[in-house]
Amino acid sequence: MTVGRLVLIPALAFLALFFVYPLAAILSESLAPEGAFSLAPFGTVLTDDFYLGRLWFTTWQAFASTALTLALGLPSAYVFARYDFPGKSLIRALTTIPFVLPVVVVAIAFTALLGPSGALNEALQAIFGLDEPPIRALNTITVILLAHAFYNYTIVVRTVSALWANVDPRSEEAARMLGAGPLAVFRRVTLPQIAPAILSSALLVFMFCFTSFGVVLILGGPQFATLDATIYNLTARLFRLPLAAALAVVQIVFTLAVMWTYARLQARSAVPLNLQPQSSALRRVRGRRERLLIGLNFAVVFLWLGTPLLALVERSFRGAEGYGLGFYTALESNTRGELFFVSLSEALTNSLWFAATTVAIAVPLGTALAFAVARARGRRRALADALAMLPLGVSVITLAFGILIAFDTGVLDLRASWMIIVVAHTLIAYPFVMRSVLAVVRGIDERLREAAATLGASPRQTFRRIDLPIVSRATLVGATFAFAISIGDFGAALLLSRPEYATMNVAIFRYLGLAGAERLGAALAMSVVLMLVSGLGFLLIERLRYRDVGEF
Amino acid sequence: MAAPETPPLLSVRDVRLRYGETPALGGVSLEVAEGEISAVIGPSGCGKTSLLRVIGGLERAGSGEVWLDGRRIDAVPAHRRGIGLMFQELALFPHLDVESNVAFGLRMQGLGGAARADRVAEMLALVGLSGYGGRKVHELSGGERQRVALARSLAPRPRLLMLDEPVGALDRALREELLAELAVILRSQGLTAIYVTHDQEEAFALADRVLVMQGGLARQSGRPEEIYGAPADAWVARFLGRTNLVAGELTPAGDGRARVRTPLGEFAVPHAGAAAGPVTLLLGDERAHVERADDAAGAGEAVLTGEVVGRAFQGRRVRLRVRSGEAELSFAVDPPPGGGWRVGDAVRVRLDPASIRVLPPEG
Repeated sequence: MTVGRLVLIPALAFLALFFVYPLAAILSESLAPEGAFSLAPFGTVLTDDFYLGRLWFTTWQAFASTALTLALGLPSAYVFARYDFPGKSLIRALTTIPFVLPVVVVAIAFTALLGPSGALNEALQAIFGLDEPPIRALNTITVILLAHAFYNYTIVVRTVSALWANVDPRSEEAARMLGAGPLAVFRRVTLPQIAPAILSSALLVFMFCFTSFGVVLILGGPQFATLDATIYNLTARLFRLPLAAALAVVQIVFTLAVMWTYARLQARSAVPLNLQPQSSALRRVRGRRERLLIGLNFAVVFLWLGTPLLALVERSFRGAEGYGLGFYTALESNTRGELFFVSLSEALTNSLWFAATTVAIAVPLGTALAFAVARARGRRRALADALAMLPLGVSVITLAFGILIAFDTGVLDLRASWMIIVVAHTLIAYPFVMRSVLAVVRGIDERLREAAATLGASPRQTFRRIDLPIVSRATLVGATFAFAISIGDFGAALLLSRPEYATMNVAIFRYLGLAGAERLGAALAMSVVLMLVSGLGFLLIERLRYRDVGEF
Repeated sequence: MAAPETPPLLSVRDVRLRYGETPALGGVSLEVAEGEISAVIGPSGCGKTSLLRVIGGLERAGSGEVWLDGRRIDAVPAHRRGIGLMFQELALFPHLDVESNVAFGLRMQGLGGAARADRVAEMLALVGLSGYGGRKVHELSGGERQRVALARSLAPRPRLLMLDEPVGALDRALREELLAELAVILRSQGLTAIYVTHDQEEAFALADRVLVMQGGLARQSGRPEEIYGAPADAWVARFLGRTNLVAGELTPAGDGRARVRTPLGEFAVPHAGAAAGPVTLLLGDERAHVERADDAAGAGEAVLTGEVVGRAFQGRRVRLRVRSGEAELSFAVDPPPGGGWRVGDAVRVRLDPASIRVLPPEG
C-alpha cells in the first residue's frame, strides 16, 4: 500500500538514525573507547566493588519497591474489582494522578511532606513542642521506596483489578462448595487466575524502579545511586564516557530481559479464562467487615497518595511571613542575578514547545508503526513488533546518553540544538502512541473494510474513510500521552539540555541544588505549576480513552 | 411429607432471604429424604437458585432454619457443610486441567496419592471421560464440560448433591442424552439430590418429588403425578404446560357434588368443600372423546361444542385445538378411522368427568 509506505519509510529511517545508531554508538564506546578494541570498561564495571555495589543496590531497591507497591496495591485492586460503591470511578481516577505526575514533582512533594521543614515535621514539632524535626526521612532508602510505591501503585491497581473483576466469582463459590476454606479458595482458585496480571504489573513496576533516576537522584542524596544515576554522574560530572557506556550496555541487557519476560507474560495471560462481564461480579458493600475494608482502602488512597500532594501545595504558599504568593511571584524575577536563572515563563515556554514538537513527530511515527505492525505477518511482524517496542526497554538516561555520544561531530552535532531533546522525547513517547493506536487498529472488524470494498471503496479510500476515523480518538489519546511524557521527562532533559533550554523539571532541579528556603520555595511553586499542566494531560487521557481498551 | 419414621436428610424451614430491597425467598420450606431426588421447578427469577445458595451456605438466610442430618447448619460455613453444588454456569476452574478440577474436592479433604488418583479415575469413568484427565477446560465441548462438572461435584461424596439447571445450556438432543445418563448416575450412586430446573419435563423425568416455586414462594409440592394431575392453582397448571383453564361459578348441589357454570356450558364436579362462588375449571385434555357435532348423540354432562381451529399430528395421537365460545381448548385424541378432523369441522367434545378439577379463581 503506497500511503503506508510513504509514512513508514521515514518512520523507520527515524528509528534507525535516532535509536539504532545511538545504541551502536554506546556499544562501540564501551568496547572500543579510543578506537581500539578493549574490554577494560567492562572489566571495571563488572569487577569493581563500586559498580557492583550500584548494580546490587539498583536490583534490590527495585525488588523492595515492587514488593511494597504490591502490598499496597493488591488490596485496592480487590476492592475495585469486587465492590460497587458511590464515588468509585472518581476514587479510581484519583489513584491515577501520581502515575502521570512528573518524577520531579513527586520527589518535591515527598520533600514537602517529610523534609526537615516539611509539613509533617512542622506539625509534630508544634504538637509536641520539639526543637528538632523528629522525622529524618530524606536521603534514606525509606523515602525512595515510598516514592516508588506512590508512583507505581496505580499500575498494580489497574492491571490486577481489570483481570480480577473478570474472574468468575462462581469459580470461588464452586471451590467453597468443594470444601475449600477462605485461604484455600484464594490460594488455589483466585490467585492462579489473577497471577498473570500480578506478575506482569510487578515486572512493569520492577522495570520502572530499576531504571529510576529522578526519585533516587533527588530524594536519595549522594549515598544512593541506581545504574541510571551512576551513568548520569559518569557522563555529566566525571566525563568518563567508556565506563558510562559499559554500564549502559549492562543496563540494556538487564531491562531487555525484563521486557522480554513481560511480553511473554502478556501473551500468556491471553489464555482464555472464564471471563465474566464485570457488572455481574460486582457486589454492594454489606456488613461491618466489608465497610472496614473499603474504608481502609480509602484511607490508604487519601493519606498516602493525597498528603504529599497536599503538602506540596500548602508549602508552596507558605513563606517566611506566613501564607502568600511570594514564591510564585519570585519565579519571574532574577532577584539574585543568578547566571543560569530561568524564569517560570521561560521554563514553561520551553516545556510546552518541546511537548508540542514531540507530539507533532511522535503521533505520525507511532500511528504509522501501529498500522505497519497490525498488517505485518509472520517473521516481519515479530521484527516490526520488536523494533517498535524496543525503546520501552531502554531507560531514558541510556537513550539520552546514546544520543549524546552519537551526535557529537560534524553535521550530526546536535548537542547545542534544542532538537536533541525533542528527539529523545519522541523516542520515549512514540511507543505509547503506537500501543494506544494498535489496540484499536487490531480491534477493527475486517468486515467493515470488506463492506466498504463491496460498496466500491478503493483500499486507499477505505483507509481514509474507515480506518483513520476509527483510530482518530486513539491517536488523540496517544498524543496526550506524548505530551504528558515530554512535559514530565526529567532525565533526558537534564542530560541533554543547554541551560537556556531548561524545562520546568530541570529548573526545579537546579533550584534544589541551591541553598536557602527561597530556592526550595521556588522549587515548590514551580512544581505546583508543573503538576497542574500535567494534570490537564491526565484529565484529557481519562476523558478520551476508550473504555477497557489499553490499560498500560 | 417424607416417610414418618426416618427424619428427612435435609429440612428447610420457612427460609427468607432478601438481596438489598429485593425479596428473593419469602418463607420456603422443603424436606428431602435420604436417597430421594427432589426437583425444584419454577420460572427464572422464582428464587430456586437462591434456595440452593441458602442450603449450600453461599447465602445466609435472613430467617428460617436449615437442618442436615438432624443438625442445624445455618452457621456452618459452605466449605464445611459437605453439600455439593453443580453450578448452572458450571464454574469449572479455568486454570486447572480436567483431572485437577475433579480432584479439587478430594484435595480439600486431605485425600492424597493413589486414593485420590483412583477416585478421580473412577469419577471420570463414571461420566464417560476416561483419558480426559490432562485436557484443558477450554478445550472441551459443552457436553464434556457438563460431565466434568458432574464428576467434580460427585468426587468428594457429598451428603447431598444440588444441581442447578445442569443441562440448561445444552441443545435439545444433547440435553436429553445427558439427562438420561444423569438419572442413571444419580440412582446408581444412591445419591440424595436436589435438582433445579425451569423445565417440568426434566423434573418429571428425574425426580421423586417436586417443589413448584414462584416469586420466592413455594406454590405446591408432591410427587410428579400428584402435581401434574391436581395442580394447586391455575398458575401451577399453566406452568406445568396444562391448558384448558376456564373461569366459572360454582354452586353446591348437595350429596358431595357441585355444578360449575361456565361460558362453555355447565359441568358437574365432585364438591370437595369448595365454597360457592367463582372458580377456575381445569379440563383434562387426555381422555376426552371428540365426535362430529351433527352426530345425534346430543348434549349431556361434561360436553361442549366447538370448531376445530388447528390440528397437530403427534405420532399415535392427534392434538386438536378447538374453539368453543371465547375459549380455545386443546385435546389429545385418537384419530378416528378413515381420516381425522380437519380445520373448520364442528365437533362435540365429551370430557372424562374425573379429569375435571376445580381450582381457586384467578386474579
